[in-house]
Amino acid sequence: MVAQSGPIGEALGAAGAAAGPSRDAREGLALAGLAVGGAEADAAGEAKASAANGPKGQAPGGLDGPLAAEGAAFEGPIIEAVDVDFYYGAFHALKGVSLAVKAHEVTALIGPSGCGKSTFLKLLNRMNDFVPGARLSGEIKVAGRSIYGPDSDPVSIRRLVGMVFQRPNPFPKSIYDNICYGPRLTGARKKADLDVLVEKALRAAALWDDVKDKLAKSALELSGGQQQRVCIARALALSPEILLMDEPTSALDPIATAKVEEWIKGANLSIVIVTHNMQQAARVSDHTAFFYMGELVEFGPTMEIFTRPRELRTENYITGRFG
Amino acid sequence: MSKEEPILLTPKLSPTEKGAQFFFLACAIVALGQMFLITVFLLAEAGGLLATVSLPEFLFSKEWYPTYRPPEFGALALILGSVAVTICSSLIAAPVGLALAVYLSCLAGRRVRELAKPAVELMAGIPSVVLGFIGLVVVAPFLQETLDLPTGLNVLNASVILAVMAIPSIASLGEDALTAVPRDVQDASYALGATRWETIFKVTVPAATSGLSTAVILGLGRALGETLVVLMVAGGAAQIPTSIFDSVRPLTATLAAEMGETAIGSAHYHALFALGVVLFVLTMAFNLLAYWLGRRWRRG
Repeated sequence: MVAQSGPIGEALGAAGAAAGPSRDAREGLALAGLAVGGAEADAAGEAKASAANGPKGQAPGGLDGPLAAEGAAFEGPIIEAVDVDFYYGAFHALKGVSLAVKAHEVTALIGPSGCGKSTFLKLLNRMNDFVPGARLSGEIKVAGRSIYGPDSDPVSIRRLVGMVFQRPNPFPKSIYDNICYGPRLTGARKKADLDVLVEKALRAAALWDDVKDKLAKSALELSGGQQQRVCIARALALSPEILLMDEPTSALDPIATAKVEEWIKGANLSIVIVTHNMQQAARVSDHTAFFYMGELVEFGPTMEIFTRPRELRTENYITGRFG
Repeated sequence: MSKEEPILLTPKLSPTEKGAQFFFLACAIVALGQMFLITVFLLAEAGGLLATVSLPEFLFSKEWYPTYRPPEFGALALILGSVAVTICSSLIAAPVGLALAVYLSCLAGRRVRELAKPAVELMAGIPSVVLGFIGLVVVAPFLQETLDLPTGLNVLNASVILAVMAIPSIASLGEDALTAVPRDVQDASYALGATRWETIFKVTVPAATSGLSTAVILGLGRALGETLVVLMVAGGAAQIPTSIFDSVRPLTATLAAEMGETAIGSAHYHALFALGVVLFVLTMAFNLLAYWLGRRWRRG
């Protein structure tokens, strides 16, 4: 993980401290994935939380009881794809993709348009289910659980795997209601709990200081970069295990892009980011996967991919010979 | 050295362009002008009534006996007749029309939608006299027999037929409003672990609220202004309705039925124009409301 610095690091530090030991289990869970340097402690809290939530068996973050415990103890790759083939109707969009992503790392998916990187990303939270004629073979596991297995439920998977989209897409509601949307779906109702959750999520998305005085205002009144950070905060409010980002800065100006990138570098969360921008991949990611024509050509530490790629196609792409 | 005079960059219009511009301006003036003249004419002709009855008496008296001697021109029963059929028809048309809009936009498969949407829009094109006729020969006898009423021509019958007329326009406009909700906002909802129903009722419908209310209000405006159906099936009795089984005589029906039988320039003639003004104000209010809601919607 890249070292923390600057105001965003501090904001995250504050959030981490706030999520620390003195808070109750619910809140501990709410930011388990975000707390800086406190992930292990919170993982323990997470297990407690799911037990403490009693008969309902569902923590506000949307984890099922058993899964939450499993997730806390899980030490393998956070995402594991084995021999994934994916089709849009007759179009063979992904060909034999196998990939394992480590927890708490930033993984960049790069490649030319139409190479399958976004398709792969959307498989991780089952957003391709909505595409008519989408077919899949192979296995994808998140936190050790097969997400396309016969008894897997897309809704609970999406609570576990948050997503930030290409264009900022806040709901036409207040900032506060945007953040509360996910938690309310899982049954969080108490104003006091939601207030705490909103502040933590916004702090974690480095937006709290910008918007703390106008939480009741429509999220659509914010700038594009702020809207995108509302979307990040909205996803974080469910304390996901993983955050997927689909070209999250392509609709943003350079300053807003820098803020989002700085956030990505500082977040102690498993992030998978699709980007067209190779400099961005180099700046923010720990590992990089290069997709080409539906195949995963090369996957490795970002430094290696960008300095001494093993494959000629990777080298050609990153040096700008095509794409 | 003095600088050169700056040159004008705006191109000069050619004679053809000038002619075209003048033509379009003339069309705009004709359209706006006739609107203005109709309003002036309506108000002027209605004003003649004030020589016979005062404004409050006209609006709040319930005695409408234009052919008595002396005649009485109280429009309250007629206004309430219009209000009654409009409200009752909206109670039927709004829920059904909106449910149909949600179905078409969010639930129906592509094939069903491609068949159903044009079918619904075609329904909006059925001439009102046809629906009125159905009300007269099918609904009225049915109501009379099933509910054992003195007449089947009443508020309920008119409301049902008006609802049938309003449902297609509410459904069609409502579907447009729902479909205009950006797909990516709905994706965001799914990505946060919402089910399809949660997404429809917590994101799509709220985001389309203003468009949906515009759809309902325009549908209501249509029910309020509709003439033939109420003339045929509302019963035509100028009384204040106390139940949905009472016959009523809405404003539009009164105008249509009586305008042909009155002497130009008589008090009755002026009274009918005054009814026209009331109708005009009510429909204008509906349209302004729809316009205002629509604007609010576009602002987000």
